Amino acid sequence: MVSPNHSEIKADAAIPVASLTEYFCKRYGTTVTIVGAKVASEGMSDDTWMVDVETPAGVEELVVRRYRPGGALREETDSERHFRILRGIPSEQIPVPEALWFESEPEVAGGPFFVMRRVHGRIVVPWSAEGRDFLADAGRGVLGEQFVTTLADIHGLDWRAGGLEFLGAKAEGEGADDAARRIEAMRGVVERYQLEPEPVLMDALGWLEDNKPEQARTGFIHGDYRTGNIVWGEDGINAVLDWEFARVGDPACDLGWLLCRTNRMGSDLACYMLGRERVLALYQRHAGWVPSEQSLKFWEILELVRNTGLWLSGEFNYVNGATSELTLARWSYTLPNMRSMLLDALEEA
Amino acid sequence: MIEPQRALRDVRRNLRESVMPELSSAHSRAVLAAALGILDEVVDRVRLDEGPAEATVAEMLPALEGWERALSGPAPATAASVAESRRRAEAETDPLLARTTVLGAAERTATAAWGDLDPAERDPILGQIRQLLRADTNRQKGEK
Repeated sequence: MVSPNHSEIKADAAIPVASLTEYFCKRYGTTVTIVGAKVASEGMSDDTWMVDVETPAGVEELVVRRYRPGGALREETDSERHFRILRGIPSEQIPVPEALWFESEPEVAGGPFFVMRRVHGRIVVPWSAEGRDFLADAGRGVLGEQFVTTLADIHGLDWRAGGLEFLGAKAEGEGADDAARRIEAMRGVVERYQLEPEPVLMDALGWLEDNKPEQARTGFIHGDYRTGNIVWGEDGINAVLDWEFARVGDPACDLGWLLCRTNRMGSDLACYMLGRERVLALYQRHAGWVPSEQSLKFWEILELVRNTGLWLSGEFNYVNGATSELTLARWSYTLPNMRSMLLDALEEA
Repeated sequence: MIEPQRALRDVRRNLRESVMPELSSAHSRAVLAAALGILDEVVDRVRLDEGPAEATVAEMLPALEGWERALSGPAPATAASVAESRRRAEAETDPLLARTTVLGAAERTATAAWGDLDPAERDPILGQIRQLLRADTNRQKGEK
């Protein structure tokens, strides 16, 4: 197979078109050409590239998700695990992109990556003016309802039956001590990344230890379920994205995060889409249960700690030279806002 | 905390390397070139404002003595370390280092309050710590 000439391809400079072309030639087993390549987003941990590959059968619209060295909270994420989760989710039950290949070696793209088929639809930045308008409007209709019922479906997946059994649970009851495990993990994150004393976070961790809820259910959870991680279609959800934090644990965690104040800044609507009561009523109706208020409060504060830990890790990696990306440096300047929101939550608890 | 000079240099480098090549209009390029020039001139003159740190130290230092007293029975080692922090912060001439020292005392006091104090003793101390941290956080956000 011969790599084609790339000089005329319209591609963002950040994307290694030549090495990716060679990679796709091997994967397709024939000569293929990259006919379009652009950076879709540079997220907190991964880069997402939209790549169009011309094959003998036609143009394949793909997405390359490259694990970025120096990204945030690297110990909480793993590119291969993310790929296996996408492969393991039954797409007839939960709308997810089809994951095609995983590559662990950094030679092709500068880090591990996986390839998915592109799902068409609308992805919004929830806190942008345009995103807020769209979500507030969509929340009044079927999309709002589907946003909650899809979460209930995720929690109801029989993760032992399909391709998700690798997530844990060799012993009965594993995943049932999610709150204690997450507190321990977050304590580690704070201690690893703090550049100065963090009395607000230590106060929050003390509160969490003192207020661990009973875990009513154990299930498969997304770990970052919010409106920015959805591909919206005209009359339904086309795909749920960003599964790198998924695990088996307490489903109340996803609801606590969905309702968390960082996902409704300056808005009364959870994830800028739905009122809190409507979220809980829809979940109750579809899942047949709803977490206690105590449990929701616990998970909101834990997720605030996680979110602040994410910001801390970005600052830490920038200050220590692991990255020079401004998107991570920016987080250092928003840390006071995160601490302020935690103080609000603790005072209301 | 990120040194302002480093952040500004990285902002300037990103604007020059990533944004400038994408600009097609002559006016946009002229505006950005002027901005880069200004950044280059001011970067070495920018310093962290020490005023917010000074205010935090002034507010928190008096509270440390109360925390020492409250912790002396149930958590004597933490009480001793808070006393040591108080002495160091009082002697420290750099307001940023003094702030770090009193925040460290607040961090250890909050941890001990949750681990070693009864709720009746714990709640007033945590209430005071949160109030002081709220003021510090507001100052870090640039609020007056």
